[in-house]
Amino acid sequence: MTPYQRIEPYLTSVIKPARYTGGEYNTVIKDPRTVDLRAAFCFPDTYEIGMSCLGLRILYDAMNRLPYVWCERAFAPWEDMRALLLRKKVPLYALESGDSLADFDVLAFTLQVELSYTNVLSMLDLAGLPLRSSDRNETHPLVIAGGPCAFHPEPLADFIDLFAVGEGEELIAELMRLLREAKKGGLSRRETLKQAARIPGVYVPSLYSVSYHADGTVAAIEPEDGAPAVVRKRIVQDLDSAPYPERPISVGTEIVHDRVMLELFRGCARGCRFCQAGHISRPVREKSPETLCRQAKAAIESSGGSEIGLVSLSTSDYGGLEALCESLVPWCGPRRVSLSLPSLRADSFSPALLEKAGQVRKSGLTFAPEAGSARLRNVINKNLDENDLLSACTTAFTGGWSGVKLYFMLGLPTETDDDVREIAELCGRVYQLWRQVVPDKGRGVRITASASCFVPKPHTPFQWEPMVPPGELLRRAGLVRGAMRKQVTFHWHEPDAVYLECALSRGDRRLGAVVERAYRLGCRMDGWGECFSWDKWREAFQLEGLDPDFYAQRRRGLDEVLPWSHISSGVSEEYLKREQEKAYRAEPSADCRRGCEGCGICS
Amino acid sequence: MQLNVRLAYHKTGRARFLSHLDTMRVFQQSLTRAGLPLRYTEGFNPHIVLSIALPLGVGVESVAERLDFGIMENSSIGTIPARLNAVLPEGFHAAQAVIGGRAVSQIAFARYAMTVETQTEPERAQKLFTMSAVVQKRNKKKDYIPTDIVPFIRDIDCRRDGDRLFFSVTLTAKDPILNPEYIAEAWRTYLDPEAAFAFTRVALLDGDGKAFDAM
Repeated sequence: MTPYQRIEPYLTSVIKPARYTGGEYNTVIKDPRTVDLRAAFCFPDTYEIGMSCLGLRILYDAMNRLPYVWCERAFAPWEDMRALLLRKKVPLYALESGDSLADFDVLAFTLQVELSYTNVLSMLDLAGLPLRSSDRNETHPLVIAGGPCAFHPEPLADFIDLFAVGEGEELIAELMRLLREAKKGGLSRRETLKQAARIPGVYVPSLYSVSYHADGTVAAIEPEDGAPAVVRKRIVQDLDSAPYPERPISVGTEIVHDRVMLELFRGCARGCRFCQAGHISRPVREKSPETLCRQAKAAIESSGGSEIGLVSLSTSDYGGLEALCESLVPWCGPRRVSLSLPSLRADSFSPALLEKAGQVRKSGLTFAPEAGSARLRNVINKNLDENDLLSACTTAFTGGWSGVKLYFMLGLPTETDDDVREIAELCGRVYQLWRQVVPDKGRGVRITASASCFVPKPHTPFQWEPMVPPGELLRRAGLVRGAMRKQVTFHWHEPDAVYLECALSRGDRRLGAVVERAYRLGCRMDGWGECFSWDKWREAFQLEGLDPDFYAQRRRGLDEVLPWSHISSGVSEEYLKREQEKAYRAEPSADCRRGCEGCGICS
Repeated sequence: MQLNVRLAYHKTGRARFLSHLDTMRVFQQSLTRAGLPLRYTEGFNPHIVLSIALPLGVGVESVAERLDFGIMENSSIGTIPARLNAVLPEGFHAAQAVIGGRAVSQIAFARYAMTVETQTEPERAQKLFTMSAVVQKRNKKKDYIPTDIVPFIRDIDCRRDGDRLFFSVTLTAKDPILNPEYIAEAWRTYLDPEAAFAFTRVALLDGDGKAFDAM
């Protein structure tokens, strides 16, 4: 009996058991006797989150295109299911076959957010595997990890055998080929890892030794056994020919985003200084409208889906948007397929475009000014003019939209109380505008402002900045709240979890002990408000003798060896330093398409 | 010409863990994949006109499900099961399709087959479910109320085969609908807290206790 078959009789006792059964339409089933490698794509959060992740769908498809690999899926079980598995002594299993993860050749985790790190340990633990790489041997699966957090991987260096940095479609195929040869040739784990380290984009943490200064900062990160001194991220040059899941899994149960995800382009030309995604995904590479149209049709026809979501960092920056809409909308209409356009910028918002996309439900629009004052927007290089924002709101209100959401950040570098109060003032002007332009006030308006806490992320011009302490962030949120008109709904995020996210994203290898300790103390599902316990994490830091402030709140010296300095996003450190200087002078930088700032990605 | 199609289908295996709403979603997708000339609702957010006769509890298998949906032309009703079976996910089986069908409001009872591995004797089970069995039952407001479920059991039959007990029970299917999970709940409360039941809905009955339809 497989672990799934053993747990099946008890599944009605957990919430939403369909998350743990597999069997969805378009899942890939292979005969295990016909493949050389069994892989499981492991998503360290719930099924609903994981199945909404484009990365999972792309890599599941890319791996299963290899005839000698069967790639399945595994997710972090919710607390009730975790308790059931433990009580019945059933190991965590993959959804397609129901087989124990411990019997696989490769477990491939994606690290989308730092707050999922304890879930990685929880999944290894539930699979009955030793948590630490050094405690695993040839009888255990190889544990690999990719995703945005692989760009600053050190806190997980003790647990992950190999990180894949950057885009995975091509790298994973090269790695699978190597692992297949290694398995056939009976290569030792160490030798396999040494060979894998030669694949561009692969970082094997056990092949690097890290030394520290007396003050706790990193002295040096030194490669051994021929591993590269700097691991440079992988880039897929031609997205038109890259694999794309044309037969996406059609889920039965409700997930966060249940739509066919159509990726318009990767990278971002804007250069917002706070944005890690924009920096690590450079350069901009677009897919052609023809490719997108073909892939969308194939995916909808094979899945029976009813919605297409356009995915990118900034939809309206896609050069082929009109061409794509023109060919896709007439196809979607008679099939009752809707098209959604998220990530619109206020300065390129066009109702004509939305009408063309068939978006007739005018419920709400979302814009992200990020900062309240023009000065601070220049600091972060979010070159959004207030007039553009207000004219976008005017168009929206007169065009029949009844609500706008505005996103801001608190705790940005150089932020003053005046900048903070200007968030409320800007929202007030949006409300005034609604009063002026809408003749019939009867329908009312919903203006929502929400503020998140700024985390200075690795690989951005702000990577040397300290995070503003949680207490101070709360004070600033209070300032905004005090100054906000009552007609505007204001939300802000609790800073404790963000503070942990910051410490983990900027941490070094010693934090591995803290992550493990936190897990042992019962921390799991840290991204979920009802599960997160800062008290337990604080205890974990104390027990391991480390100070989260050292990682989150310390201004890093420009000459300091940063814990992620051996991982390269392709953007040069000189460029990041120049951008930091310009930020202090509140000086904007040009969009890539209008002038090159020399970030180094194209060289 | 608009027609109402009634489909008899089975939901077994892993599919039994899909909720009522999940099952609706599966059919939305599958009917679309099958390329049938479906009828859609009007409005900004059109969706397929679709309803399932009697909601099935999560974890309950069934060989007696009924789904109604609208099509725009009488293309060929006979081919609908085959076209659907080609695109339904694991655990679903389309058995038969007809035009029209008896009003689902005439469904009064549903019969279930249940099995459990237990040492308890059938007589004790029979006794429990004819005297009184009080469980925490969820009402429409989603509050849990202590409720005697025996009045909602039309008949119950129990026999032993080896380590297992096999039940055939007929439960009310309206005012209220009794989920067979409550039989298991009562069993766990009064007899054996670790019992894991398997359920299958095997028939739909009308108010006279006769088969609801001939599908």
